[in-house]
Amino acid sequence: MNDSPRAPLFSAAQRRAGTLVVECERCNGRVRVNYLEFARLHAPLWAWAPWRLHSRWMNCPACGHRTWLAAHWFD
Amino acid sequence: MPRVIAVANQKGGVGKTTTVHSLGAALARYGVRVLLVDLDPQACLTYSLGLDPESMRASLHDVLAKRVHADLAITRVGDLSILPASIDLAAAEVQLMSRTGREYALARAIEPVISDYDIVLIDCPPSLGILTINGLTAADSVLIPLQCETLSHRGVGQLLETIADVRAFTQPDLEVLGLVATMFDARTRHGREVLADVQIRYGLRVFEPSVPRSVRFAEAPAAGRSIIDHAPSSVGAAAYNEIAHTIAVETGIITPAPEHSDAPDYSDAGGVVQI
Repeated sequence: MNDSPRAPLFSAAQRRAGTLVVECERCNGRVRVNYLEFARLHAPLWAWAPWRLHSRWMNCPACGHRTWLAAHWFD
Repeated sequence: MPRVIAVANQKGGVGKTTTVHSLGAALARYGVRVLLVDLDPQACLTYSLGLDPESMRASLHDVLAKRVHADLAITRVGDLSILPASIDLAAAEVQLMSRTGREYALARAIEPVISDYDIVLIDCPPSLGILTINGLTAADSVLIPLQCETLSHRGVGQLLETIADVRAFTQPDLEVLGLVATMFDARTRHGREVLADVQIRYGLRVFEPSVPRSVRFAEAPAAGRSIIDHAPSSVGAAAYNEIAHTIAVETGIITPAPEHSDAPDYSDAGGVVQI
């Protein structure tokens, strides 16, 4: 965790219960989402390739593209 | 790939808007396709291009709120294109805070249009809020205007810390292009000392030449023009022209013209100069 006084401006920095951080392979964006948003980002179709670092093919909340993302429960 | 440069300094009145407008106008003269993004709710950049921020059909606030596509909000003024701001943008700061991926709202909004341009210059607001974070996240480099006064260097330190946070959280490739010394008064030792101090303290590059303080800069926005168009032969216009050329060449937007030297070429004289 970053203890910068500006950390609250960044969504990925605010660790909260019921959330996780997704990281986009395409734009390198890191965004914290709650479980409901995480589920929505999978819609309508998604893929899972567990051998990949960015294992989930889903919507990126940062760039808005459908691409490969990694999900981190612990950052 | 277009270059996206954020012009940022959380201290107000250091010349961010003037720098964006002047560099944009100077680059446009080289035939570069320039998009200016006014990210400041005070809409000074929009106003200084001769537009009325309150009567625009759409502004950056509408784009960030996903009400209109960026293409529809972009307005053409002479050689420049601008994504204008209005006071409504102040509300965007609050609205964005509750949005998922709030730091990427600007990057996502301009992504479909930036391929139409060679360079995008973002005029960041004089604060360290979510709008500035959006500006820095959307950019690949930062240019820092610095007024050569004692308190200014504090702002540079804080901005560099913010840039480090942006690198850590949202834009790992963000680089600092350097400082542009504005409102420089070469007659005083103080200005030179502040500039030297900032260079040593933060190890930042300072673009040459420094931009001198001039009443021409105050006159230009009232005429709805940049200093490049308002007073093209002024020292201020020359400074911005030179800085724009340096940035354009170094970022690969334009290729440098071959140098013509009036000095005689003694290269094949075997080291002996015959007079």
